[in-house]
Amino acid sequence: MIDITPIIFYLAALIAIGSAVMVVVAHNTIYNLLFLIITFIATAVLWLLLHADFLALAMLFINVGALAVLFMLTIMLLDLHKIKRVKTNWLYTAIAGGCTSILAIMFIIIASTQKLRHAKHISNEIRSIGNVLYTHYFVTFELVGLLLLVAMLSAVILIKEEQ
Amino acid sequence: MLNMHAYFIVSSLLFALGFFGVIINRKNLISILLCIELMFLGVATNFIIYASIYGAVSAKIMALMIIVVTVAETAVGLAIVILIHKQQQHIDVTKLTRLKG
Amino acid sequence: MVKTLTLTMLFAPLVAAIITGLRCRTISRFFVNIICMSALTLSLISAVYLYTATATAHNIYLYHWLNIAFGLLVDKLSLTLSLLTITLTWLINIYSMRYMRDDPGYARFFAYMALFVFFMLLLLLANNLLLLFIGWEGVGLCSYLLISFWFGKKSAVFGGVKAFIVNRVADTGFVLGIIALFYYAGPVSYPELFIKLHHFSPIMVNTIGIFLLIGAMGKSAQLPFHVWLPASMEGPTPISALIHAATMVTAGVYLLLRLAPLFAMSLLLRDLILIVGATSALFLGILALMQFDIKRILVYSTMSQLGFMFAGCGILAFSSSLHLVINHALFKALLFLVAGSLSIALNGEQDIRKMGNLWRTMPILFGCFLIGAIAMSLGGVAKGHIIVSTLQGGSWVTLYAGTCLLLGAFVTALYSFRALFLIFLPSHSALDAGSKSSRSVQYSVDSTVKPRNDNNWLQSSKLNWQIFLPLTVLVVGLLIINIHTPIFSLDMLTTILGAFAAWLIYIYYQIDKIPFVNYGFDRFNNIVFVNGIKHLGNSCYQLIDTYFINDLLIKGISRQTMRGAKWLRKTQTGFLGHYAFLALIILLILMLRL
Repeated sequence: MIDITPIIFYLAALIAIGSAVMVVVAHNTIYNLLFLIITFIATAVLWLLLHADFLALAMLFINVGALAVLFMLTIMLLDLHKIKRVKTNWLYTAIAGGCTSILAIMFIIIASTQKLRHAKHISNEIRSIGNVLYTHYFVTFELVGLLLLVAMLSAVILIKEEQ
Repeated sequence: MLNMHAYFIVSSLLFALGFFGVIINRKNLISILLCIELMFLGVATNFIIYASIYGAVSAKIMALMIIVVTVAETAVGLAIVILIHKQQQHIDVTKLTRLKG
Repeated sequence: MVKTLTLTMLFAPLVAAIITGLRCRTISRFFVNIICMSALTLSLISAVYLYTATATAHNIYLYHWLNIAFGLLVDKLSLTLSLLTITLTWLINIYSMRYMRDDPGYARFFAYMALFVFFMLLLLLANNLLLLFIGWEGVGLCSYLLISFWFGKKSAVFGGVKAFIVNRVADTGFVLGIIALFYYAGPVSYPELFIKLHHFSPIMVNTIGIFLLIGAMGKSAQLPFHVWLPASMEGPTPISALIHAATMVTAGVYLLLRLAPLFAMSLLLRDLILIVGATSALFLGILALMQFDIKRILVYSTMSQLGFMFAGCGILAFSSSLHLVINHALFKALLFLVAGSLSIALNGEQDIRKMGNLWRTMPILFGCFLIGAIAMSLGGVAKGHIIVSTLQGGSWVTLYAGTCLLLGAFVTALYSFRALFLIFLPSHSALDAGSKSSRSVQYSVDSTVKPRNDNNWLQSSKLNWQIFLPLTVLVVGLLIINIHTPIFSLDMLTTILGAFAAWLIYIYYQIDKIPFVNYGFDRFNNIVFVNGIKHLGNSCYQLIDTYFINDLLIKGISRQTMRGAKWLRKTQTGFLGHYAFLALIILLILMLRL
């Protein structure tokens, strides 16, 4: 049986990078959002390949299920049709692109200097995460919960009409 | 078997593309937020890669946290975007230059 | 007992000054009189009692501050002068009640006067130089306040400022002297200081002595620093009598007397004092001959007499100097009171050329002035003693000083009798006014200058006790001092000679076209110091203040900041992407560093 993992990986990686490029490049905000969703999904596939099953699922639920819908709602709420096409400043874009590619190359170089083993399969991922999260990282967990609460409240208060 | 460096290339590119998008974005605030989502995604992927390599659960928890923080950030960010739209009737980044010296 | 009395004597005037001074707008004259007079009387009683009761010196410890033991030194010298000060102030206070009767600043005047007494007593009673300096500056302050008492009058304000500034210049020297003394000997009281003095090298003694001498010269208006005293005559006449003739100007002499051991140690210092004193005695006396304002005559005579006192200190005739101080205080107060009375009686006229033949209308003032003039010429028995000792000194300096003093004594008699004759005796030309064109401002006494008819308080029949009492006391005091003058003495000789010469010149021949000179001190000061300092200040202002500090430092910094900010603000585009780009670049730099 041939190992289809590389094929899946290359496919997913290609889709992820390509749609990420479209996120940056596309002019319509709705298209941006849709390509971001595609990126999310492709990345989730990558995460599955890395044996992070639970996290991939959670990411899909949260990011695609909640976040993207939130974005969608906002875009629909705001009237974005007035936005004109701005002429691209190619020099600036080139410089920025150069700098960001340097950044990416440096990340890759740093990563490639490390000796890496192959991915290990963890039998019960949810259990292991839960074991650590509710014991060792309990305070962090609670704090993140609090952070979500605060974010929700602040969003509500910010949007609320003043009396 | 697949070389793990390929994963790093993907995550780095995701992050760099997000950053690039933030820098060159001339459209509106929402697309900037989307680019920031890309950056978060790259970082989270990075954590997952390490978690997978070393079998470290802590890195996965960190990725989880990143996801949660992303959500919180997006909620507040979108609220601010709506607020700005309420006040200025637009969310055009090129026009939001009140800090211009 | 001694301590209590001394403190009472010292602080009673201060209390009075504070009470009247703080309430000077609302307090009534009656209360001012009561408060000031009772305070001064209390002070006077304490002083008299102390003077009679204490035989030995008492060093009264008061307070310890900054390693300096402040205290009061009650000995014969300080007590004598304190008694003199308080007595004179007491008398002049009584006189001032009449003199200042119609002045709106009545309470203020008496507050200043009481404050002056306090500072003067502090100066006299202080047991170290620092406390003395506090009193010294205090009397300087009071002097300024009282000269400028009529602050609406421009000349009074200028006079006050002039006095203040000239005194500060001299006080610079004094402060340096005190600092030097404290540096070498520590802040000790006089007796300890004199013990430590023996370890001093001659150069140290000379340096300190010269600095202190400069201070004394400034306060006593000796030759280079004399310019402030004539200007101070713009104040009320009682003040001229009290501060600028009788008490404050003798502070310099008091300093010389108090630090006599220091000054006696060095021949150089003694010669300096002698030269300064003798020169002032003669040349400032000559100036008195050229004045026509009665107060100015008296003030130049004051400086001349102070010169005699200085000279006395210079030849170590300290007791003679002290004697002269007392005598001078009494007769100068008397003469100023007479001058003030004349001024009131003649509606503020002070020019002696416009007076004349007043002896018939004002016989009492004539008598007082006569006694004062004689006492001034005689100078107790001390003046002759000083002159003779100086002449016997046996060096060129003493020869010069002795000659100056001898001539000075003659000039003293000359100008005092000149004033007396011109004011009170009938002048020949006054009878046929207009016959001599040179005397253009000669008026007949009967026609223009008359005693006030509405208020004949100077007439002998209705003499006010507030005028009469001080004059009487002063006359009696002068008689007591001068009665012992031998008939055949140098004093008597110069007096008679001077009186005769005055009669000859001013009454018989009526020469009054004396060229007016003032040695150009004011001009010199104006040109050299005032203009020089003005120019220095101007150039400093131009160069340092305007150019360097203002343009270069303050404006320069702000300009460069503005320029830099203008350049830097271009980086603030307000565009979100640019800030992100900046963050990226910084991230790259940080990563390259790693």
